[in-house]
Amino acid sequence: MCWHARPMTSSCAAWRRSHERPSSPRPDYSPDEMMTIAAARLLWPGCVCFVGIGTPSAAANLARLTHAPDIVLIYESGTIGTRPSVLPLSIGDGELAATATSVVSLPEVFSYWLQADASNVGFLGAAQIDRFGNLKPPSSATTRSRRRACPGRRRAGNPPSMRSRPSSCSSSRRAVSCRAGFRDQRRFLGGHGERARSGHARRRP
Amino acid sequence: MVITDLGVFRPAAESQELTLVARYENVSVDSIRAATGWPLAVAKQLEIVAAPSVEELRALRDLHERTRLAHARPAEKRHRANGS
Repeated sequence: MCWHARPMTSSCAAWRRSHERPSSPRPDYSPDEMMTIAAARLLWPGCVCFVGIGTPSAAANLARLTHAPDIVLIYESGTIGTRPSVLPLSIGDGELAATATSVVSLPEVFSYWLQADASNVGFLGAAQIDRFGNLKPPSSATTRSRRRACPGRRRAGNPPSMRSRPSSCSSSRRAVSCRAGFRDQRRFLGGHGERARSGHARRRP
Repeated sequence: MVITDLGVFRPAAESQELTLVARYENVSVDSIRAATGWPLAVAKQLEIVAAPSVEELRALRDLHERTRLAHARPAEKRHRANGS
């Protein structure tokens, strides 16, 4: 599938207008594909990656299909070492459990894998991020209607505390803003050591 | 580390503010500054991320195409195809 065959959104069109050099040949990849592939390149063979749904899932599985066939993927639903042939719709997708090495309970995956720092990388998507890395996860919520946020975002406070945590989001003034709409996932709070002073981090974030 | 569709950011050591450390091959620093909601700091040694290779693009598009076809099928047939 080439760039021209993809359904073009307004953000894609804006990206092309702002980044395409007039004299160069038309790029045959989209900004989303570039972001996904750049993220996949950061994962290494043998790494243990806690994966979020969406772009992180696509990037992690792309790494598995290309340069890191032995990467261990863990999804929030407790599927460990999963090797899906297609991308899951959600963490509850049967494809994850059907292709996993092991399936454990939610308390186990959070207590003994995620919080025990058994993974090398926590990889999440974000709808909005501020200058100090505080995230607003992907959701349908606006600041006026927080109840519409996607389920699960309350549990997502753990991966941002991990040592290595790539996040992916699309760039726009709203997405990459001075201050996220609300800090559901705290990273450096206000910067300049505020996180360490607040007692949020047991370890270096 | 933060990866967006324009570049890659890392927190600065002192201020912990996200700093641009890499840009994609066909994206300018000015356009990244324009899309960022704060005065963006840029690393002294800015890396340039190479464009996707043919193999990477093929693998990603095949994955998305398999996903699209699988999710277009009724759930019952999908699970039967998976043998579950």
